[in-house]
Amino acid sequence: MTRLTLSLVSSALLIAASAASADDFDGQHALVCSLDEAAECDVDALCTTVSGEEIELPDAITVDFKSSRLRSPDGQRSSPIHSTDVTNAVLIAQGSQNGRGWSMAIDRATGRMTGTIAEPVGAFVLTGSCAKAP
Amino acid sequence: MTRVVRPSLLFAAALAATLACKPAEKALSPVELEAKNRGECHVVAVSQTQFDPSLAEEPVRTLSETHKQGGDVVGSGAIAKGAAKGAVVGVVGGAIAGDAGKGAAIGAGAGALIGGVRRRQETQKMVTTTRTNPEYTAYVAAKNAYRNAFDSCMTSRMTPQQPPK
Repeated sequence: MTRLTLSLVSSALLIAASAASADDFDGQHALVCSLDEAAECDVDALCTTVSGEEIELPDAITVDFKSSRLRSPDGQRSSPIHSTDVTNAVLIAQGSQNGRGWSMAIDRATGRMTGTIAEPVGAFVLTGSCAKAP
Repeated sequence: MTRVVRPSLLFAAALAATLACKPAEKALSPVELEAKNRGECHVVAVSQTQFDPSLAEEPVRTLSETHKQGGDVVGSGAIAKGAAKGAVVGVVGGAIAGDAGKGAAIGAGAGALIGGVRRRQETQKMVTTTRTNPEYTAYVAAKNAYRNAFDSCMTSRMTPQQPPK
């Protein structure tokens, strides 16, 4: 998927998220989060911008709280959600898989999301936006 | 008194003397005969196959191509296609059972999402594939055809001739 398409999808999700209420991000409803930007960082904390395709990360991820899993759009790949924390302003989900720890923090007012994937040789930093899954 | 000799008689005598003095054709030794046969069979085999091993140049045996990992041929592409097909089947099955998500999970298997993320350096890795050079295959076939023709020719010459009945 091209960057233009990604941007259009992100914009659509952002508009949808803006229209949505904080109740959408209550840790109960499933969410769809799109990837806007990604960076790959090494052990010296030097980061370079990468595309989702380059690091084999899907353009969008479904956050399914009921089954406690993150899923790729095609359902081929998934990761377990180990914990969810909901505050007034932020929804945080965390998990680990194959020696990596991940976390995502979602602004409950806007749906803006920042995520990290940490591993012994560095980390990935991701930004995007989330909306209530249809 | 002068003795007259006819020129025709002189020529005949000279010819007879020459023939008498010329040594009989020497019989070839086995080694010489084999060398003669080999030379002639080479000409025959080249004529039959249009291949001359003394002139043909052997092509390189293999061809190598280097390309980025993750293309259509190499990497996880083919595997991913299979998994995607499984996921589609799973979604259909799950929808029938009233749980599309569960069906997708069944069909997809357990592909890691976060655990499957790879560093760019890994996904950009170059891989080299090697295959047999078609020109080399043709060369070997022509060489074998020449060899068969040559051997056949040599065999026919080594076989003792049957006396006519």
